[in-house]
Amino acid sequence: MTRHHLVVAFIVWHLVAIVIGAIPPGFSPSEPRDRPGRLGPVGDRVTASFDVLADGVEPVSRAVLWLTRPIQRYAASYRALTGLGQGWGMFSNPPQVDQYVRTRYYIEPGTRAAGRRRWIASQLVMPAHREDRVRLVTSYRNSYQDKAIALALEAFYQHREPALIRPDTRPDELPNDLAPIGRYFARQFQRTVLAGTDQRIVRIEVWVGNAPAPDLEGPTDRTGRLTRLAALREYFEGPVEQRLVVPPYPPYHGGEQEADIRWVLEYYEEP
Amino acid sequence: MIDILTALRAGIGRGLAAWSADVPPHSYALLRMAFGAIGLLSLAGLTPVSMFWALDGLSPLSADGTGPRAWLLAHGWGTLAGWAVFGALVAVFVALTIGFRSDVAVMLGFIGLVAQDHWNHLPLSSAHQVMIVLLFCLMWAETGGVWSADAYLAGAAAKGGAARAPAWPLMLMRCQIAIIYGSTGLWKLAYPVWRDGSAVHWALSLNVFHRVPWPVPASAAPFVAMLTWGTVLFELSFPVLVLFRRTRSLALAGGIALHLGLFAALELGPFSLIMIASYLAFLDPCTTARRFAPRDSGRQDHRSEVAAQDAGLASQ
Repeated sequence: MTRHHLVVAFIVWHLVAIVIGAIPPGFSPSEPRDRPGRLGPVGDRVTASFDVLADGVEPVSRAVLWLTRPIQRYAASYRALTGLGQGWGMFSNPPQVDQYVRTRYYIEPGTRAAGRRRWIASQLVMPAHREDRVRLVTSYRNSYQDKAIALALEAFYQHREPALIRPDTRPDELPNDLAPIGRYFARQFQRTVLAGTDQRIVRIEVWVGNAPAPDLEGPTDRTGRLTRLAALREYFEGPVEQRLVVPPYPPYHGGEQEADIRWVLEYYEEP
Repeated sequence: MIDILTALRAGIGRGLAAWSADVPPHSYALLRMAFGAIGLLSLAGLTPVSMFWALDGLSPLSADGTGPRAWLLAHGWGTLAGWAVFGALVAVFVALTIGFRSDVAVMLGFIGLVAQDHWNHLPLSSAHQVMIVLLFCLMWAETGGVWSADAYLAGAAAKGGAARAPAWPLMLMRCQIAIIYGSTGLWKLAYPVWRDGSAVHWALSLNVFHRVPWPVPASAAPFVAMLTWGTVLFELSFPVLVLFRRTRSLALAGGIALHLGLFAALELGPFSLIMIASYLAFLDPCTTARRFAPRDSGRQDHRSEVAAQDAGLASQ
């Protein structure tokens, strides 16, 4: 076999492998509507045309996946080995909520600080960039922090069994995907805020917040937005400390409401 | 009918000839420099090193406490190893940009990016994956023939004869980029939010990505819907449009507009930049060489040869 034939065989195999990996595994049907859509009859007609297009394309993509089933395992191994295994579904199903992540630390005084009480500090870690400001230069670096937290969160939700969502879940039962998030920011907090003291962090929590994204239809809820921003501004200034009224440890998956943000405790550990 | 078959056969023949042709190395050199510079920009975003490279930073933990990363962390070398990986990648991308040991640098760049994925995949976005797949294609090409420290050190410019390079890695890269667009178009078509015209609204509203903190006004809904549908149609048709020379410019102009729009509206790291840079692969390599030829001396013969031999490739 000549070098030319080897090159041709490699190119054909490579293209087949990456095409198989590029096909979405399934199509989601549109929900039937009993009233005209927000874009009127023209919008409905265009949507219907896209639905017809999707209905036509789906069997073709399914057929390609079925036909290539015998080689899919090898193609997947090849893609994984060569680092070409990425799917290209960027923004294919964008979330319809605003997402937030905060870490919370419970701090206890050391032996030298007799009489001092436990206090807590909460820190907003995602989005890393203030959402009330235009993203220009620093947001470039912040986007990497946001991506790291988003992917850790995604992995955590994949790995956590539904049965673990109960008030008495212990930290060692939870997957460790969010541990690096909590630990990294707790260590930063220890180095900066608690430096030079003998106070120590006795519990680290990772909370995930969801809030409604601006609605598609109707006027913007300006009051709701301002109330949320007022709540977030406290976090923008740095970790929010609570020293006077310190609540007890919340149950696992317990919730808190701040403006229209619904916070849920997703991970905790007690170092 | 016979005419159609003849035309089809001629088209396939031209296509095969284009894959097996040799082209001037200038396109490869441009791609090498662009990917090197974007790689460095990406590494600049992945700082501080303690956050993204040290093993006790925002880096996934080993599930069972085994493996080289867990070993390094357990022995207190997590930070040092992180700095070493970061430093090595900086060196590789500098070498890629200036064209020092170009072929080795491209290969190490590809291996380094795959290794980075295993070291800490958490902060890595689609931009990183695009870089991996494009460097994979570039790895098979001679990228240091011109505009490189290699060429300078070898005195190739003075001799006036940069060797031509096989075209197939360039064609492979074109296919890869077309597949990215076709795939992302299919993924979008698979979800109702893109079919009902609302996806761009949701994407622009995401608090983690939006460039400006103002909500999309409800009155802009028809425009937003057109952007949504237009994006799907463009991405689905991109692989066909870039296939033909007549429509290629249109596809590339549309792609540049799309990515500039994405850059203006969303903070996506270096994604828009790398996608626009990847379009260098679609420039006719002969035109690229001719455009820059006056800067080189003694290339008249070379230019004539290029013009004669690459008529077939340009027509693809």
